[in-house]
Amino acid sequence: SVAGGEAPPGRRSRARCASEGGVRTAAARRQREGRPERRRARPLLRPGRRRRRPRRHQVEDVGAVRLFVGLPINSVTDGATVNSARGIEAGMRAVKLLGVDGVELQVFWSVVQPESPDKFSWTGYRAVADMARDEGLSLRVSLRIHGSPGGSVPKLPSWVGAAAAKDRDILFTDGAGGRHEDCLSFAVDELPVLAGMSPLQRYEAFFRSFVDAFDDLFESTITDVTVGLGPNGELRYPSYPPGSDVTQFIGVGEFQCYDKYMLAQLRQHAEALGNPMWGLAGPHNAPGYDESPDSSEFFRDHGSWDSPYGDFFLSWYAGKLLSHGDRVLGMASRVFGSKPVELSAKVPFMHWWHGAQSRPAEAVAGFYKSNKKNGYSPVAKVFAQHGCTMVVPGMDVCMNKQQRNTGSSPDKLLVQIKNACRRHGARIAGENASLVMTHTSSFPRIKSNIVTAELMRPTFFTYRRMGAEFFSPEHWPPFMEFVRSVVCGEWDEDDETAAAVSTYDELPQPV
Amino acid sequence: GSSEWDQPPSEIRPPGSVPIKDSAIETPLETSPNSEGHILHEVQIKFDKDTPVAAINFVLKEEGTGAWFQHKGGDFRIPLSGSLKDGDPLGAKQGVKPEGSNAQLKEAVPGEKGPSTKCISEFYEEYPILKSEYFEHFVSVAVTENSETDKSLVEFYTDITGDVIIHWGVCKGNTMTWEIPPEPHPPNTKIFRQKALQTLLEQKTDGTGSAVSFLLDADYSGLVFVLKLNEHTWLRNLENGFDFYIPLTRVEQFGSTQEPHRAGEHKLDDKSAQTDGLISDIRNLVVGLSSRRGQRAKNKVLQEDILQEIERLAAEAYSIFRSPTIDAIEDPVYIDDPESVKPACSGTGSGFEIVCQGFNWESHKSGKWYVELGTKAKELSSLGFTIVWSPPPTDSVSPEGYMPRDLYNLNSRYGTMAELKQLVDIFHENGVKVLGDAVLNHRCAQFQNQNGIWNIFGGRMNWDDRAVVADDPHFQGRGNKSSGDNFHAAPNIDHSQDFVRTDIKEWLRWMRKEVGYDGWRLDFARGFWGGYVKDYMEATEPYFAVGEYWDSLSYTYGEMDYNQDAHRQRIVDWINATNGTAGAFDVTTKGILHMALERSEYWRLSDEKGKPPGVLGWWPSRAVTFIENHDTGSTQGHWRFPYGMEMQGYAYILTHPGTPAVFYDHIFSHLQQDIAKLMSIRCRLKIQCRSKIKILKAEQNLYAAEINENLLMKIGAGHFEPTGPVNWIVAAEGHDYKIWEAAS
Repeated sequence: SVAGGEAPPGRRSRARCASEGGVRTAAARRQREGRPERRRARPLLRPGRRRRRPRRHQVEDVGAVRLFVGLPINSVTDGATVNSARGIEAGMRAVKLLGVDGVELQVFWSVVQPESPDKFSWTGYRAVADMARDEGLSLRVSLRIHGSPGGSVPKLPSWVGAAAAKDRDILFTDGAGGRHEDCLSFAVDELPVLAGMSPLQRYEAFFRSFVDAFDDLFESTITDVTVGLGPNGELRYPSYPPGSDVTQFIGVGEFQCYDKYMLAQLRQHAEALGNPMWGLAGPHNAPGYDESPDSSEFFRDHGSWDSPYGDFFLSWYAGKLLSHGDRVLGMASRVFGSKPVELSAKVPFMHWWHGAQSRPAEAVAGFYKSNKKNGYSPVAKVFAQHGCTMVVPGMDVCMNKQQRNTGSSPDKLLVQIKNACRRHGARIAGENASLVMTHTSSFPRIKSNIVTAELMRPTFFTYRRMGAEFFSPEHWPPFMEFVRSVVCGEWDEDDETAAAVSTYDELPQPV
Repeated sequence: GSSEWDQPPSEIRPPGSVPIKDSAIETPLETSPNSEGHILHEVQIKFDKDTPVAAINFVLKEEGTGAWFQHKGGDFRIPLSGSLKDGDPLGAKQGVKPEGSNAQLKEAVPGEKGPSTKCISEFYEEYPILKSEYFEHFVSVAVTENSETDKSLVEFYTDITGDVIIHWGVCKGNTMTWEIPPEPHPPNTKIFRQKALQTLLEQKTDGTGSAVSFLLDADYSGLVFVLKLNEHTWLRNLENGFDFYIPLTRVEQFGSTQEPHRAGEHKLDDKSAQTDGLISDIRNLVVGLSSRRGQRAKNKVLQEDILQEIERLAAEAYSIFRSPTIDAIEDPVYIDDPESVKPACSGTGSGFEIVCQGFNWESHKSGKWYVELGTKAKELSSLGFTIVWSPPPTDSVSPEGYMPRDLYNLNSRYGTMAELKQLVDIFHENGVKVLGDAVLNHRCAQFQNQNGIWNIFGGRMNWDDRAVVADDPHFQGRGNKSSGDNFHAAPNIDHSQDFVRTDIKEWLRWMRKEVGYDGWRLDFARGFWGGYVKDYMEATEPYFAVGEYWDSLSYTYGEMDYNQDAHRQRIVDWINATNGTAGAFDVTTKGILHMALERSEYWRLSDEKGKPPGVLGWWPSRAVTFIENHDTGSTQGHWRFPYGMEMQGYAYILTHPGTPAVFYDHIFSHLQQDIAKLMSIRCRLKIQCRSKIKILKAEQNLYAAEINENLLMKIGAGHFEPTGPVNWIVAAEGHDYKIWEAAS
């Protein structure tokens, strides 16, 4: 941008001077609460220790929650330039002064490697990271290997898209043959479908290139790396209708196991178990994307899901998700193991239909455990094994906000996730599902979720995201109040009597 | 008796005088010790009593520092002419003595000594002058912990000489409450209002400063202090305006408790005289003020500052994110009309026009404005103006003419119709076109309706209440609803009525013919739809037309937005509605210039696409740029251009595309020569309303642009020098502006 390639020096220095207040606050807060200044990545559990039950988190284990603010999802769209750079810069300084610890940057595979598997363009993202460094902010980087809703960022690198055009089955596919153009099937993770290499190898190259390009920032600025494991950066199947906005969809969804690679694995698995008939297709009696779970046989109370076939299919389906997560996290922890960063990954927060026995929305997204057990439990176990923090993106969701007829239960879901993590020794972290624009109890809800004495206190919370609405007069003031209440404790307007100034109140004012 | 400076005639200049420009001389003072041993600086000026000198004006300048000394913000002045008449002293002698407790002035300056020939009593006046100086001092605080006694040894040392008092207290735990430590207190300590201690530092015998040290219980979390020199001079942390804070408990983290630990060293800048300013370099300080904020710091004022800064930043971010991003927005294609699709009447004149607003808010007072303005026609023409905007000519309820009543009566407070016609003739003889100020939005009634409401008009256009818009309850109009905003002081005319438009067109044509107006300035164009304006313009085919579409710019949290696209869009929409038959005053540019100049935020002068951010960036041929008019400035001052920065404003509009309009008050002021210079550059380099512009810099304190590829300009304090293959030569230069032209 012509006008604002860089901040005018005058303003910068003014902010610097005033920023002392905010700068230290976050640090001081941690200091006060006994948290070390810098986090080191938890050492990976060695294979030999894996079987030992990991030590449970104690409150002392986890200091005050670190606060992040998400940067605009389209901060960089062409690899080279920063969109609204001056806005980002002003925004960073504003949140810094407010006492926020850091910012979160979504780094898209499609932006970094847009045209060929041989070329990475980091200039744009690097410029954003440098801005964060210059502001003294921590940086949480979310590496995204799948597309983003809203269309402001390309879904997949064009050369990956080209491969998908040749072999449509490397894309996730629903029962009706609908393809998810933004999401490669987990079944091809290790098949050489992308210019002679497997997606997993490509992901690893992407991650390693990131490490190379940002190596000098790991000691100073980058504190967290969040690995995108699936659509919307979450470990899940794209169980929403192809082309729709995953963040808006609250239906049951559909199984995504109809690309030929998934089907082949299903068939193989059924044959191995001696039930080849079960391996011919997915459940024939599951509801459509927006249908009620009661509308067809599969997810009804005591429906097919509760039968041996149902358990067979759901276990396999969830297992495929789990092994994908395990593969990518294993690779990521090799790549980032030597870096002083906290590794994290995101899970979906599908609180709708949580009241139904079958938990259908979770099941089609791949969260299931036999015998009606906690579907997040196996996932938490994998996360714990890789020293990976589980990011839960629904810390703002209030019970009363949701339509009752979807059987929504955000509270129960959050408890369920926390239980799973506590059991397996995985840390959790939080995000909000959406900007808190109208629902005034959402900020208190976030606060109670993150400033809590309970065992599973989030290690960080990322509020998403900066943009016009974020800074609008409708949103910014309550957000400011929220951050201040988290950062400074209750704001005490009356307690001014003891102010130091009053001891020399005859002090003449500077002219 | 003029306040303008003239250079004194050479015969009275004392030896050693150096002429400065053509308005002053600089004369070095001679030094001589006086009887009291002080050094005096003096000069004698001798001149014949017949010398026509009304007064001597002077200011003082200190050679070494370049500091200026004035009298109450203006010049020192010795009146000479008045004294002859009433027998007052003719001569003058001024002694100037330093004043102020800490003033460090080394010179006392007796001023000019007048001739004593005819002088009976001496003129003698003493004026105080004030000089402040900065001194850099430091205070260091060392805290040594002794684990055996459980006490800390606190040592203060400063290089400030004379009495220095530390005004101090301690705090415990997380509070920031000042407490007094229990006795024993250090020697020379007083308790101040049960809140703090005041300890006098001991002066070192060698005169190198003062120091004190004392023991303190180790269980305090911090020590807070300010320095006091005397009743009027306190030194505190200039960075935040508050107390110094020395953390005590955290010391351990930084070193062994056995070793003396230097907790912090503060550098002081001691600004003497009346202020208590103090700069502290807290970079070395182990804990800044901020770490206390989490502990509920009480620094309310600091918090307020930070919050204000946060809000400002948020507002800035908001305006940037809110504006559509570059690839999302459709390029508003006002690249300007190619010649082929020019509307039948474009109202833009030749494109090389420079408008003079030929009146101000006071012009009606003499009753002879048309005559007076006529005498200036030649001068205005020679300055380079091609168009003059004359005041509203009709019979009016208000003397300034903006409350018109009988539209066909052109005798006004500015003069008679005959004088007006003469004025137009004079300008035409001088090759200057004349704009009439047409007030079409509203009209004052001459008669009341049956309800006693003034909404029946008289004169040749004897409309009734059907000509008045229906949506202003004050005037009970029976017309349609207004097609624009309402002006509430008079009945707003309903232009949607055919008979109204027919009458207005006839009237405008009559004025074109009878008076000889060449075009129009359209008052309060917000008041009715631009489509009607198109109708009027097509009916009268003005050489030049400009509408006043003035509404508020965009602000967020009281802060002017960077992006004013919405504002200029409204103006452009109006121009569009007129089908481009009239231009509009570029209010957007004026507003942004205000902010850019006033706050040194020159980055505002480039929009997100690197184009000028006002109407002139989008539709330059229809943008009439200005920095002041009779409403914004003059004696009304509704929205005055930043004082003293007018030339920067003119350096912008007179070099940029768009059609610049210069305000009467500025032309006939000390700015005339500078403005004239810029106008002649504009003419010489053939800059016109559609000239190409390339913005080179838009930074905090600097804006620079290249226009027409043959002119470079910069405004702002920032440094700018042209580079590149073109040989640029300076064409004009002034305070914070500079203009270059390409050598031919």
